[in-house]
Amino acid sequence: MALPVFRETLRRSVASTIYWGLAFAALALLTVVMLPGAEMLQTFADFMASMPLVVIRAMGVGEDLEFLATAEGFIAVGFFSKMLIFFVAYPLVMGTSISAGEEENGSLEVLLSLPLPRWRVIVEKYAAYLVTMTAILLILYGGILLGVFLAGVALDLAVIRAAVFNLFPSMCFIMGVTTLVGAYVSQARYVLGIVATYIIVSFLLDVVGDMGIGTVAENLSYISFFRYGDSVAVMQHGLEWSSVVAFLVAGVALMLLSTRVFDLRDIRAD
Amino acid sequence: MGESPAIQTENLTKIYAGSGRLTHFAAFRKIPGGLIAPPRPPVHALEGLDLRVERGEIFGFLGPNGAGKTTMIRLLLDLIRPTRGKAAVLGLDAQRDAVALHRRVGFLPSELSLWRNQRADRILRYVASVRGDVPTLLAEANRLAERLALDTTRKVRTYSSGNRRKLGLVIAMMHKPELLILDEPSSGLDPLMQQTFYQLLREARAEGRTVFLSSHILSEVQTICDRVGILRDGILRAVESVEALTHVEFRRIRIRAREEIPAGCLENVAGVSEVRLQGRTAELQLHGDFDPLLRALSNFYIEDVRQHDPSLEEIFLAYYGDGSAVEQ
Ligand SMILES: Nc1ncnc2c1ncn2[C@@H]1O[C@H](COP(=O)(O)OP(=O)(O)OP(=O)(O)O)[C@@H](O)[C@H]1O
Ligand SMILES: [Mg+2]
Repeated sequence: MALPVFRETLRRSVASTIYWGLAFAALALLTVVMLPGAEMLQTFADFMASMPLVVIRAMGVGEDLEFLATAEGFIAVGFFSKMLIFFVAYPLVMGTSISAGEEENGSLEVLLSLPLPRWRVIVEKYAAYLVTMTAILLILYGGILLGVFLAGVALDLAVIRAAVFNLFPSMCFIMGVTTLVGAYVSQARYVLGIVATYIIVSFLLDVVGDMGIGTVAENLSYISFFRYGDSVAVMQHGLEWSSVVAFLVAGVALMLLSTRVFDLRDIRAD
Repeated sequence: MGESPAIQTENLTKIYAGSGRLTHFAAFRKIPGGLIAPPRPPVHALEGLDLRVERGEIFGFLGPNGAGKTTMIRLLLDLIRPTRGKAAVLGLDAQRDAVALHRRVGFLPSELSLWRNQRADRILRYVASVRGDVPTLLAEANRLAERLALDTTRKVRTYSSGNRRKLGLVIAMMHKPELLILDEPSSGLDPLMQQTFYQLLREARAEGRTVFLSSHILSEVQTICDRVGILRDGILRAVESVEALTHVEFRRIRIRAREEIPAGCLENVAGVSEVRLQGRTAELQLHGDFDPLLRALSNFYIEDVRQHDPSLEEIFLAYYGDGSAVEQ
């Protein structure tokens, strides 16, 4: 199969993939380079221990404050955990461009007048963005390696790799959500608004849920995708494969559902 | 298959649901500040259209703004779905067989917008790769671009609107489709390019291909089309050969003489009506030939005669003003 949309999407994404990758890599590099020394880390962990339990939990560290005293722990909390809110910006933006963006600027009309079923536009573009997402995470990992090299810190790279890999399923899931909303709504700004709201609410629910103050908040936090993509836990205990698979399956299922939604409706008609 | 008409619609009807999809959810209707528009009533854009376009003809779809021309074209391409009725194109169902159909159809949308940050030749390559045989398609695309004097090495964003339409034409024609569906194709082309474009359409017809184009410019339709369908308020008012339409056509004439034109001298002149005299100038409507008018004015020294084509509106009034039955 020739997969023209897949290839064209990749071709057009080269530059943006590099920019996003470099931005994430720079953040990671900064985090590693500015890593405090062992004593500082211990001081920081002790200081955290003196804080109320609610605050500690809100940072997503769990009860294990000794983990926070390690370099990996600091990176887990400072970079991977709540930074997920920035990482999912990428699938949010790309997912919007899968159908809604093209529909809004009008190029979709030309594309769909070609011998191309609608579902292929969605599937091929989604697949292309999975590839660029992988590339971005590789660049990000490169940033960490560079930081390790520059700062000369000793990090358990296997743990870091697991944390980087763990970002992928959440991003895949958010792209599925965005694709579905885009297939239904068709105006890019509404798509961005709706999914960004979901991401922010997820973030807040996760913070509140982590605090563990009330059962309602804790129960609500189950609808937050942050809960299932927690990199801190991954760095402490290794990958949670059930979450990984669930996110990947959900992302692809949402994408397939969007092809149905997209197929049933009028293009550019509201 | 050879016998099937290029386009055949049966009771084709499109009613746009009034409100946007988001307003299906009550919560979104309550968002203040007009962020999401309040519910709109449904629009009957096309009503019971029965139309048959033969193979090998250039068919003009004529109608004023908002008549439903674009709606009809988007239905033919399965971009939107009919509320009732169905359309067959080249013997295939417009909806069910859309992909097979699109292989054989070329389309130029009315508000053409392409990927602005891409170079035109990259876009052509992309379209060719979707259509299949890239080298052959690109060769034809380059030939067309040359004839339309289009530089394809530039980004779409730097194109004038005319150049953008030219690129759209190349995309629509590069695979030599059996049927060309063009929504207001010549808007934005300068007169010289319009001639080239008409020439391309005539060549397509000479090769037995069919052209279906929409327009609200009567003269354009007269120049290029074999038959026209007249659409108004979503209803097909008439399908006529261009000769028939030209036959009922009338002109508006403005005459300036050296001396005053006396009242009454243009009365009872064959084909002349609606005379308005104002000193040395006369404005009138002329049906049919010029000769009776010229003879009636033969005693005057005429300084100037001007004619302007009647607007579509005026043709409509003349053609259907008496409310006579609509022919099919
Ligand atoms: N997506 C839409 N939603 C609601 N109403 C629409 C939509 N598109 C078109 N309409 C309405 O349907 C009617 C027909 O529109 P259409 O675009 O088919 O007209 P047209 O003949 O192409 O006009 P023009 O010459 O201005 O291009 C108009 O009243 C228009 O307002
Ligand atoms: Mg139109």
